[in-house]
Amino acid sequence: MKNLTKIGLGILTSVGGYLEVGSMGTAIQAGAAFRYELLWAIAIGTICIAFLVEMTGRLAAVSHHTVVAAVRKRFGIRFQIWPLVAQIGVDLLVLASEVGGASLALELATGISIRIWVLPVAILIWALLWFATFGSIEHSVAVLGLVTLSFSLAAWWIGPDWQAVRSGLVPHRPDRDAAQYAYLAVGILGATVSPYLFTFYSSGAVEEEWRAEDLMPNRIVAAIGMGFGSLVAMSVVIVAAVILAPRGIEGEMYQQAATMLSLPLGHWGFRLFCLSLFIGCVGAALELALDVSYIVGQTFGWAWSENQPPGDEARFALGYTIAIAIATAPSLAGIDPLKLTMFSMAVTVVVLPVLVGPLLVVMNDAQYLQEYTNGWIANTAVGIIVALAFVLAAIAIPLQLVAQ
Amino acid sequence: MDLVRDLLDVQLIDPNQRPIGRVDGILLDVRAGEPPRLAALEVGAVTLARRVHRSLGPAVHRFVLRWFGVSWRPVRIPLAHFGRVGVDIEIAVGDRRERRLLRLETWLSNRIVRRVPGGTETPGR
Repeated sequence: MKNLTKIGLGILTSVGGYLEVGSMGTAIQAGAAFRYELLWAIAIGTICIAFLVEMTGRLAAVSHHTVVAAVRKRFGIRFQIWPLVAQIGVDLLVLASEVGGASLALELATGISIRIWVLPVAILIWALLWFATFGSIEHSVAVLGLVTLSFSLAAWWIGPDWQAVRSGLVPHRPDRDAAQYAYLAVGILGATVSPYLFTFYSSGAVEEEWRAEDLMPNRIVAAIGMGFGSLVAMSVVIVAAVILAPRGIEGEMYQQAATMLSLPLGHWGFRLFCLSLFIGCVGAALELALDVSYIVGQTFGWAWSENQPPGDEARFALGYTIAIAIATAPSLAGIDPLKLTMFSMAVTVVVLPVLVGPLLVVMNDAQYLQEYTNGWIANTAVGIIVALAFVLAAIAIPLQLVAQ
Repeated sequence: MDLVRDLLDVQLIDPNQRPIGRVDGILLDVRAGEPPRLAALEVGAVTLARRVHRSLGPAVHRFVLRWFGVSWRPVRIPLAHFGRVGVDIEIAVGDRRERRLLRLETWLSNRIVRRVPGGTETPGR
């Protein structure tokens, strides 16, 4: 039973990778424009992030230190300042998209303008962080996140062409519109292999006081957590492919895409879509706001924990408070959350190498990991991910320009 | 022991296992004709900023002095206070130094965070 509750951390982490506004948006667009042809990007992204999450969870369980703390010690502040600034930037951009996404979900559900919802949403996110413990946030998001399985139910219900689904899982060249195809593939990878997932996960494992005995549960949690997110994301692609693509709906507007569950699930479909989007965005926003406080606190060696009274860790509590306040600005100014999210995914991809690269050193440091340093499989995986990160970083900006 | 590898940037914890900063700088005692000796460790934003860029340290100091009227000097911790050195370093610096290490935390806590409802309560209570 105790191990079962650990899965909550895996699911909360994956909510930020797969069910947030950007990932849902790119999955809908991918299904609507290319049907099943981009499923492989989700599959590859999932394998990469599952490896990274498992590793940083292992580091946390064995050493009771997070990956950010280990990087500061091994590389020093002159290096660490760059990943820190890059990641705060990415976290704030994505957090701003999530605040906008949750407000958009409320607009879709109620018809009341998105701008009215921005402040209530921000206050809700802040209040949850201020008053709740890490465990209660983790478990409530994990349980509520199961609502998003309604996409998987719908995908199974509408009965896609499974043969085409299977062939979509293998990377291949498209027969048309290569620039848009590559742009969406990079977008999916950028939204999935997000560095805040593993910095958050390793912080969560320290919050939950995992020990070396938890290494097997850590593997299972990484696999099930990321597998869950991946299943939902692929289901979104499939539903979009079956419902939106034949009707010529491109899915670039959530307002059009929101009806995609109505056909298989009736009038409950629309409500479930709005609810899934809201839960995904709020869950991701909690994760991102906490991540800002985590990485700053760990870099500078301050006390950091979501389980202490805010007054005992004032810098930690003010960190997420300031982050949330900054993140409300774009939506209040009327910037479309989906535009913001496309931009933040491109930025994520560009800064990815500097955030993943140090893992090659840190995960082989016996002072932290004792006998649990990376084996050749894990090292090869990090090597491939770093190489992939460099390729993505090099092509992300040109692709964004071409695709537009 | 390799000073840069084993001491610099290491997490400092007090005897209650509370994180109280990191080793931001190392102070050496250099005398003619003698090998350099480790004199103390430094903790503080100005030292840290100076390591990022030489001119950034004085800039941070000037900024804090001008806007907050505080001369924000790094805290020096002599070797005598060191406990076990491992992944973390445990230090027992005494109340006065620990207060100086945590002065920003204490100021923010008393001036802002504890005045907000729920600021002093353990979450989930």
